[in-house]
Amino acid sequence: MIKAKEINDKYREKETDYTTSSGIELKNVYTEEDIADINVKEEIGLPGEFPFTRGHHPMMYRGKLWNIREIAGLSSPKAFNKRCKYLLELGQGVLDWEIDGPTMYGIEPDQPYSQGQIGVTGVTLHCLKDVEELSKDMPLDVLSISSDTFYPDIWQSYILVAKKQGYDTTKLRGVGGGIYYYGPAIAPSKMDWLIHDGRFSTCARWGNDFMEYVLKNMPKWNIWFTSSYDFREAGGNAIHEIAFTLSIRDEIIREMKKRGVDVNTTARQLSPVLASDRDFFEEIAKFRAGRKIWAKTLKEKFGANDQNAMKLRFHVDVSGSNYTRQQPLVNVARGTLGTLAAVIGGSMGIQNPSFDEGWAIPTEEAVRLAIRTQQVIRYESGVTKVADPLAGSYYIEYLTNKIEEESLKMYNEIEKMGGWIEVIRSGWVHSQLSKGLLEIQRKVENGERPVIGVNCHTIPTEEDYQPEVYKPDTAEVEEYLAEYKTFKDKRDNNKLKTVLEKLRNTAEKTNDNLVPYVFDALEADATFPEIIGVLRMVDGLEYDWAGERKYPF
Amino acid sequence: MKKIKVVTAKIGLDDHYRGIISVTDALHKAGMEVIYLGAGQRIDGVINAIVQEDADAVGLSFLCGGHVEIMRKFMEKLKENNLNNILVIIGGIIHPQEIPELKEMGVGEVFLPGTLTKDIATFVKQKAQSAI
Repeated sequence: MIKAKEINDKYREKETDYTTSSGIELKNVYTEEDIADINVKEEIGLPGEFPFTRGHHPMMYRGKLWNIREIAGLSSPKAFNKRCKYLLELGQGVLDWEIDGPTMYGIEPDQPYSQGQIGVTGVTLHCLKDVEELSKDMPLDVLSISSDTFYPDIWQSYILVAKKQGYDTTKLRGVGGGIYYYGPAIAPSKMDWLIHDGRFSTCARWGNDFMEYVLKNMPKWNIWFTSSYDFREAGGNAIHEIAFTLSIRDEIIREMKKRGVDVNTTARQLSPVLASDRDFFEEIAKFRAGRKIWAKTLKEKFGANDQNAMKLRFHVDVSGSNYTRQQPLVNVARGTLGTLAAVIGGSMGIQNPSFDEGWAIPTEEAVRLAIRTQQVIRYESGVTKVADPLAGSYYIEYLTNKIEEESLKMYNEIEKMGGWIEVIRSGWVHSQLSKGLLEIQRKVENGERPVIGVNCHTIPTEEDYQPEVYKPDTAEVEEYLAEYKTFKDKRDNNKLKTVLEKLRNTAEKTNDNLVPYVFDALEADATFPEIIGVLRMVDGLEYDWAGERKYPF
Repeated sequence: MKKIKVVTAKIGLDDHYRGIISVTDALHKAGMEVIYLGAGQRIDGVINAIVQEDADAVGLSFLCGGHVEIMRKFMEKLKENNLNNILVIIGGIIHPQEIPELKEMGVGEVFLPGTLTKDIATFVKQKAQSAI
C-alpha cells in the first residue's frame, strides 16, 4: 500500500540548497539591480572582441563547431589504431591518444611493475615504432591529435613519423606538450616530474625545451598546458579551476620569455582542458569568466596586444567523477547536461564520458552513445545557432562577475605565495583539493549532495543494469610484448649507447635544447623509458621509477 | 582498549587518490589510527610499513587495473612475513567477477564505487576488533 504521507511529501518537495557548487550564496531571483555595476560594453561586449566574455570568435559555431574528441586509448598500438578509425567513422574529426599507466610513468612494458596494467587505461606506447604503428593510414596533415603524455616522447616520435611520411611538420596540428606543469598537484608522489631541488627537473626542462621548439616551429600546435578538469575531479571547485589555470599560464609565459619567446606567441598557443561539472549555470558562467580573466590579465599584467593571444580557446571534459557505477544508463543524462553547459559556454572541444565510465574504459557501443549524445546537441537541439545565448541573463551575468572576482582573488593570493611552482611544491594546492574532496564526500554521505543511484533513488544491485565491460585482449598485449622483445634485441647497442650518453651529457653539462638529442635517440630506437631514465639520472634519481631496472650502459 | 591501526596506500601506476583519502579520513574519524602512505607505493614499502607500525589492517585502492596481479604478489609477501592475521581490504574499479578470486587469496573485503565510507569504517572496526 502506498502511503499518503509519502505521496504528500513528494508533492511538496522543493529546492533546499541555495548555493552553487563552489559555495556562492544564491538569491531566489536576480534582477537588473544585480548587474547594475557591470559596464555592458566593456565587460560583456561581443563574441570575438576583447575581453572575449561572450566567445573567442564573432561567428562562434557558425564559423566552426566544437571538436568531438572522446577520451580514447586501449591495448596495443595496432589494436588502438583500429579503435581510432572506428571513432573517425562515427563522426569525430579529431582524436585523443590516452596512454596506459606504464607509458605515463615511463617504465618498460616488459618489467614486473607493468604487469596487469598494459593497455588497461590507455594505449601502450614505448618507442618510435609504436607511434608509427598507431599513426598508420591516418592523414597527419589535417588530423589533430591530443595526448595526456607528460613528456614530449610521444610528440617527438609523432613529428619523426610525419616527417618520414613526407608531411610538412611545421603544419602539424596537435594538442599537447605541457601537462607536467599541473601533474604533481593531482599526483603529489611525482613532484620530481616537475620540480627537483627547487628548480625544474631535467625531465621538465626537456618539456620546456619542447614547448620552445613548438612555439618557434609549429604555429598550428596547441600546447595543452593543464588539465584543470583534474582539479575538479580531485576535489577543487570552479574558482580553483580558473585560478590554477591562470597561475600555470603565468609560469609558462615567464619561462618562455627567458627563452626569447614573447607573451603574444606563447599565449596564442596555450590551451587548457576545463571541466563541465554538475552545477549547470555555474559552469557556463565559469567558462565566460575564464575567457574574460584570461584576456584582461594578459593585457594588464603582461602587456599582450595580440587578439589571438588574448582569446582563450579551451577543450572541456565533462566530469567523469559525477558518473556512477550504479544505474549506469543514468550517466547518459549526466553527460547530456555537462555537454550542453560546455556548448552554451562556447567550448571548442568536448569529451563526454561514456556511460560505462565507472566500470572500465568504454566498449564500442558505449563510446558510440557518447558521441551520438554530442551529435544530438549539435544537430537536433538548435543551441548552436546563436553565439553566447545566455548573455544578458541577470543571473548568468551576475555569476560570471562573481566567479571572475573570486578567481582573481585566489589567483592574486597564489602570486603572493610565490606563484604556481611554489604553491604546488609547498603542498598548498594538494591540501586545497583534499579539503574539497572530503567536503564533497561528507555531503554525499549525509545526503546533502544527492547522487541518484548512490544516496537516493537506489535499486538493489541484483536488479541493476549490468553493462558489458571492455577488457583488453590479452592476446593483443602478448603479441605486442613479443614484438617489443624482438625490436629491443635487434637494436644496435653501440649506437644506442652513443645517443643516450650524448643526451645525458648534454643535459648534465650544457643548457642546450634537448629536443634534437631526443630526436637522435628516438631514431636510434631508444625506448621512452630509456630516455626518461637517463634524464632522471641527471637529477640523481633512480634510473627506473619502479626501481626494477638499471641503466644498461 | 588498544586503538585499531590501519595502513592505507595505493600500489601501482595509478594516482586516483580521491577514494583512498576519503576512506583514510573516515577510518580516522571512526577512532582508528591511520597511516596513509600515498599513491605510487611499491609492495615492499607497504609491507615494511605494516611491520613497522604493527598494523591491524591494510587498505588499498585500485582504479587503473593490475589489482589481481598486484594482490597475488602482495598476499604472498604478507604470508612470507607471517602477517597472515592482518585484515586486508581493497576498493576501487574492480569487476564483480574478480571478487571471488581476490577473496580466495585472502582479501577480507572488496568495496566497490558508491560504498559509503562509514560502512567501510564499521566493517574494519568489527573485523579488526575481533582479531585484536
